[in-house]
Amino acid sequence: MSIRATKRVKLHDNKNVSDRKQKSFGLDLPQSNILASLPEDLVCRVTNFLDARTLVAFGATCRSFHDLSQKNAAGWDNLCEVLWRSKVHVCAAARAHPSRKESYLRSIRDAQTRQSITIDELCYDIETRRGTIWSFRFKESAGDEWTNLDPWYYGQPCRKMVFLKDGTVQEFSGNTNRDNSNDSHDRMSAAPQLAPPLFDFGFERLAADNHPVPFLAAHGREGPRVRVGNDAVENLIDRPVNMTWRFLSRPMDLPPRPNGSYLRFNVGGRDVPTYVIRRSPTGNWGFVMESCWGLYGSFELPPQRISSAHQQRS
Amino acid sequence: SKEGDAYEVPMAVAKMSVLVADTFDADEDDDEAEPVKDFPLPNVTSGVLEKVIEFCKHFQEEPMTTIQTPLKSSKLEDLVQQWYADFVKVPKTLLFDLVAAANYMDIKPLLDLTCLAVSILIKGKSAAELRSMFNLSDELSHEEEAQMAQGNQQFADR
Repeated sequence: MSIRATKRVKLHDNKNVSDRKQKSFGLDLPQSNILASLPEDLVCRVTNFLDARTLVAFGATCRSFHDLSQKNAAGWDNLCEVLWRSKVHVCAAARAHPSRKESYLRSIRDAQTRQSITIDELCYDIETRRGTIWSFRFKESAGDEWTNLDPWYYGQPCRKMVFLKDGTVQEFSGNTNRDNSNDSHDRMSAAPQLAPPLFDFGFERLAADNHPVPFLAAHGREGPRVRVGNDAVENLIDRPVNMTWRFLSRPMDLPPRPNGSYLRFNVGGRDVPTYVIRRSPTGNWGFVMESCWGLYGSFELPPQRISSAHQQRS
Repeated sequence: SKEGDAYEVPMAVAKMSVLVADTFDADEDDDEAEPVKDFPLPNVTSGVLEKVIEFCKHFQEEPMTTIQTPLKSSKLEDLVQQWYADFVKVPKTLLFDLVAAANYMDIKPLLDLTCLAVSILIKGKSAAELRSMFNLSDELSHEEEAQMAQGNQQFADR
């Protein structure tokens, strides 16, 4: 069976006869503004393939395209989704804006300008299992005693820490896949375990002659040990250390910055040096915070480089 | 076609057009009676219809790969097979006619391909270049221009 496409209805009788010889294509569109003659949803199909820069340039060509290029359906829905997919923190206010174009622009502006963190970006919520799971590692300047206990220095992932809104800091173990979606699979997975960190970060020494270091044991590797005299310090390893956090805007030794720019930890009753918060230099819109001894990232920090001094030493 | 030219194509090819398929599905019962069915396409000229049929025929032999977004490349050859990339290397006016025809006849893969081709034509162009490309007169006030230039600034450092 086959069908034939024939003319049964003539729309432009007179014109067609003369046009046929010249092999004119298609609808008799006026040569000017050929794209604008297409219906809006077709133009949107085209603009949805465009990058943001061209879409804005396209909107600057004429008034009707300008109006069209403001609409979410012109491509901003997709552009936002693609842009944000690889980003750690997208400004909540920008995300909530009804115009996706504004969302897009504001989220970029926010990532470029805001160097302080909000409490929602900092914290993790146990109930909803949403929020930020931080990676932590010591800096080499903390000294061997600390770096020797840090899995990162053995090529393993960083330790994971979470900050709770009650002001406490807990070590996190469990699935660290970010649960930004409402993925039921994630929700079904084993509940993450939170516990006060088993290591203090600055004042009390650890010793574990007879105890494998917990986080290294968990990774199937026997941890290094630190001997601290012969005193009964070994039980320290099992003793959780209470650790709390608080924001600071005017530290004594650093210039004042907005709230959410500095963070101070209290470990076992004592403050440790101030952490300075800023956006990650990697362009992933994440935050990093660092003190003279430690580094936190609101995303998985990259593994240690082979050439680092610590590796060469060992 | 619009000019009255008739093209005979196999049903499978013709039914790539949802417009055609829907029409014939509606009166299924008299399929047997008529070995050849007529379908009027008064809005489509012969030149365009020839291209459309060429596309539909080739699609039966080598279906077009689905276009993945976001686009990995701005070269057609990297996004669809060579045949399809060559297929849309036609004058601008014909390309736009193909968009309109694909839309009217409701042929989704052709619509995707032609819209992609148009987007690649305009990608990376400035507003001024686009205006001359589409023969647009400058309809925007200086104020609006300035505002948009400001908007563009924000893409500078992304």
